[in-house]
Amino acid sequence: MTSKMVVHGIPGSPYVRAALLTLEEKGADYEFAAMAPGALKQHPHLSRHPFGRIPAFEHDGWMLYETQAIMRYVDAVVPGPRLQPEEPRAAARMNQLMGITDWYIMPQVSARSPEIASSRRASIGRSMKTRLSRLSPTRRSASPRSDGCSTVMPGWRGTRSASPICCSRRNSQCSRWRRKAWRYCRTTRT
Amino acid sequence: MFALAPEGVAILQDHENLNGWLALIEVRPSMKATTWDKLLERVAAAA
Repeated sequence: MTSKMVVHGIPGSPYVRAALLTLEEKGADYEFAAMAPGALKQHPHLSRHPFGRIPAFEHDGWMLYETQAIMRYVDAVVPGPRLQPEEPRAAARMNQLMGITDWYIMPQVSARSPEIASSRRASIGRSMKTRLSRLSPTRRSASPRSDGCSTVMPGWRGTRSASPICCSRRNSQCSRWRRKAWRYCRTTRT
Repeated sequence: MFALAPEGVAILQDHENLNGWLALIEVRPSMKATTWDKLLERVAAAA
């Protein structure tokens, strides 16, 4: 059961990367379907993930979302050494660490980012909508494009996302991520 | 990504074991295949 798998998501999202890492570690043949940040709460993505988040996963037309579910599914169906420990306590420790990451670390990290603000989200959303409205219907439905997101990392999606913490404008780390975000927008521009 | 964030750097500097683990993970082929740059290349190739 190793036919082609598709991961829908945005480069830069740590959750998308977790799914991709699992596929890479298992040596699976997969496709990465890159999305624009503004496409998360729109169709067709909402048909893949009703909560409008990433990643969404597809295997022979069968859809799945939630990162850990995707990772465990891939580990189960792709032949090769298992990525998860079988020994109960080791498995429990792994689950504990995954829970810590999802529930304690990532929200803390994201919450400290001043860029993650509702006004900014709304602004980006408007920009995306305008851009998408200029595309032909075929193009729009096949591959939403992005623009105007140069100050926010692709993959940023609010409090639970691990945006690389687009932070103070004085911060060089932030500038680096901005440049990458800009490049991503450029590559997905029509 | 956590290690790249200023907050992550500050937290990790007191945890040598975790830093060592991160260093080991960073060199894995799967990590190198899923960097931002690699994904950008994929996006560009598919466009």
